[in-house]
Amino acid sequence: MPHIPSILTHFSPELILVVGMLLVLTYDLWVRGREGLQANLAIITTVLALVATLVLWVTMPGSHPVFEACGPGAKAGTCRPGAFISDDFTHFFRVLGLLGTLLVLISGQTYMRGRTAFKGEFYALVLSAVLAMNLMAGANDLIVIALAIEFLSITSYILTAFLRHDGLSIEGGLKYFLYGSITSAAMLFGMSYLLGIGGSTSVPALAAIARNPELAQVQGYANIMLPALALVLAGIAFKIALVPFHQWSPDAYQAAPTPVTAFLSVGPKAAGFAVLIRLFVGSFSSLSASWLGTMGLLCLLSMVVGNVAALTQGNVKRMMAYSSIAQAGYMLLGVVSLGGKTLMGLDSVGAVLFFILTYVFTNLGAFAVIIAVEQATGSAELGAYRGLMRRSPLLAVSLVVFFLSLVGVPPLAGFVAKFAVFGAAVTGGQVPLAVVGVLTGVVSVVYYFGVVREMFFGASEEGQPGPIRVGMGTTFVVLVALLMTLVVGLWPEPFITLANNVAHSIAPALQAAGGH
Amino acid sequence: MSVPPGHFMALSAILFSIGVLGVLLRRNVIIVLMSVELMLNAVNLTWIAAGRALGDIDSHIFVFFSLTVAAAEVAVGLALVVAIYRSLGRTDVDDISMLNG
Amino acid sequence: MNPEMAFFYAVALLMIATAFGMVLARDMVHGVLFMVGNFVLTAVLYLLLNAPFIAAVQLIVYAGAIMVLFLFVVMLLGAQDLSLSEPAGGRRIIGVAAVLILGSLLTFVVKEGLPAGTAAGLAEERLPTLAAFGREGVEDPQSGAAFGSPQMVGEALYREPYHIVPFELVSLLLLVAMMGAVVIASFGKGGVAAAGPEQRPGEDSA
Repeated sequence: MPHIPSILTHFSPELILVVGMLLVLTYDLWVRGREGLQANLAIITTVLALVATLVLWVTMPGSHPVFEACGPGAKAGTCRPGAFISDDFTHFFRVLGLLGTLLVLISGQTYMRGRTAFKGEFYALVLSAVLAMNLMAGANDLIVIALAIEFLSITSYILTAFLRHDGLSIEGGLKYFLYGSITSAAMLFGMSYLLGIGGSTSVPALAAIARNPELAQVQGYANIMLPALALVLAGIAFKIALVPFHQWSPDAYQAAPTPVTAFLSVGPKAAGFAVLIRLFVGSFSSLSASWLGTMGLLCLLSMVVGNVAALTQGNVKRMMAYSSIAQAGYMLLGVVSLGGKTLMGLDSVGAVLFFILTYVFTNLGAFAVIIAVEQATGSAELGAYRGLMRRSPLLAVSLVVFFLSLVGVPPLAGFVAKFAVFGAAVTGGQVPLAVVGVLTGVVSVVYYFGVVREMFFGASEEGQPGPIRVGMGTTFVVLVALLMTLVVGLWPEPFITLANNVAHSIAPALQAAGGH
Repeated sequence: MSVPPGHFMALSAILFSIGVLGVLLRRNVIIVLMSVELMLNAVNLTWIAAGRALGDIDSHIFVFFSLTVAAAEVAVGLALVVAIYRSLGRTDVDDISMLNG
Repeated sequence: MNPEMAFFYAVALLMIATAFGMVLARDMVHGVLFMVGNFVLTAVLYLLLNAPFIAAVQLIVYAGAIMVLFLFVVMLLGAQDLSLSEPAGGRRIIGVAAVLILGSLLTFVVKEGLPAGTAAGLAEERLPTLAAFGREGVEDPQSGAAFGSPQMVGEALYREPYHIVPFELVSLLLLVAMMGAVVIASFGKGGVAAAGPEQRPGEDSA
């Protein structure tokens, strides 16, 4: 088989993850669930996969389909493009997913200690979730997209319900599961109509049909296209947690072990946007009449509901759930601003990628603080943050910086990201949505400030609790996130160039969208 | 082929809707899960019907995988049901409200 | 009406009836049995659609394994305890209305959009297969295997590397689901709901 080498190179990050996952499980069997090196093994695996991705990205840029079908089974002598494609876009999301997981693993290294007897399973599941995210980033076929999303979903349900002795954790997992299985059924239903229209499960083949001008002449095609795309969108919107497919998210975020919450708030969101952009912007941009309206509605609802519902939350993990719903709404704003241009020639997709990049670091920084506070106080309620400034100035000040970045205050990374997205929205013909975005952004100041007020001005009733000892892992993650938040905010040029290059790797479709 | 594929697709649309009805109406988690399985089953029927109409064998492969996914999903879902029954003694959706949603 | 059409309508009506029976079942075990009926009837339709392999898999996996799992859990938790309470009135009306809208919309879409099903003919390489559309038993031009036969499915699945990713992914998915079921539902390690998250000797010595 001539394809083996391409599998070994362009698929190597995924292979490393599989091997690492199986190693963690085997090691766990060997130490019989005792405390051991499971977390370290998972971290090493993630680092290796990250290095492999970076090496691939630098040495072999460009688009490399893996698992092409040119063999005797190929129909009519044509090659089918690979079921998985390893291009700059895939690399970008691979790096984000792996880096995000690495930060979560480091900051949550000690969290699971003493909380579960299934340590090996926990880290194996985290690694398989990353694997699923990588596959979503490069999926080039409806079968792979559907399976990768299902794989990530099922892994996430288990991780959410992992603390099975805690009724809350099981309940969050069950809610997540129920919403997830319903929306995934809807997504598969939509995909079956796409097959009916396009006659293929391959994304490039579907894109070719979508660009075929004769399609518009087929009577009734719009009737079937609209629900097909809406149903597929529902499945992806569930993974991203967009309103109205968000009901699971506050419960799952609150109930899950906090490192898992941190992971859920970035991993599935980034991977979901990878699929969303590749499928809708990259392939179906010529059909934007069938999906732009639906997506705009999701964007509007997410920004409004996310920011307003966050106002009344007394639990910081729940608040972060609504806050991340709102942030996903801002990301979606960039997706719907087809053809928009913003600062330094960044196009709308580039703006989304840049936003996701800053969001991953800012949000994980905030969650590193939340994990540390929960480990010290045993709670994620607002009251646990009382007097944090006195107990641990590092945690308190960094949390303020992360919140300011999430609000979008200059000169932090979040400001540049929001500016880019709103700029794209204004030039891309989504002015009303941009206005709503700015207004809801102002609302978001209120709930972030609620936490800040507790940290700085909250009077402690039960005497003077001592200072919080911050672990090495947490310090490392907080500092990395702080550094990125400041650097991307002050010198955004290299990151904008990066985002733009990545966005151009799915360029043919975008140019078609610009002329649309 | 004497039965047009549209008939199969319409049938599966109806079955899918009945599944949605079950999800919306019933409060017992196990029945809700069964309704989800009904929806997935309807989806598979659409895939096979579309694949038959287009002469596309990939639809069969999709359904083959989708069946496996459904099995995995049911295993996890029923494990969650068992766990929630142990902690609450019931399996009604409305009773599951420790989290203020 | 020819016999095949009549047969299809008979099966379709039975399927809708069993689906309603399942959704509205008052007894859990009845619900599961209605569902088995529905899945077996689906397998019959697969045979009608030239998909004998999928029909067999449907019987083994859906009507076999999944249903046994459901029945097992129903019996484990005690079928008597799971009284099926009636849904609240307002919610029932909303549900029925939503489903009526959804159902008629989807049926309309399929009926009106049916020509779009043939839009696949736009892809040049699809045109020959589309021409064969309507003929009994489309055949694979290379191997001569009948459409949907185990041979054709097997060749499409294994003869080219295209489906390696989903195939391997599914095997990992089953491993993950097994781990998940063990972690979430296992009785062992002294832990039912009563046990707290605190350390138990011999397990978690930090």
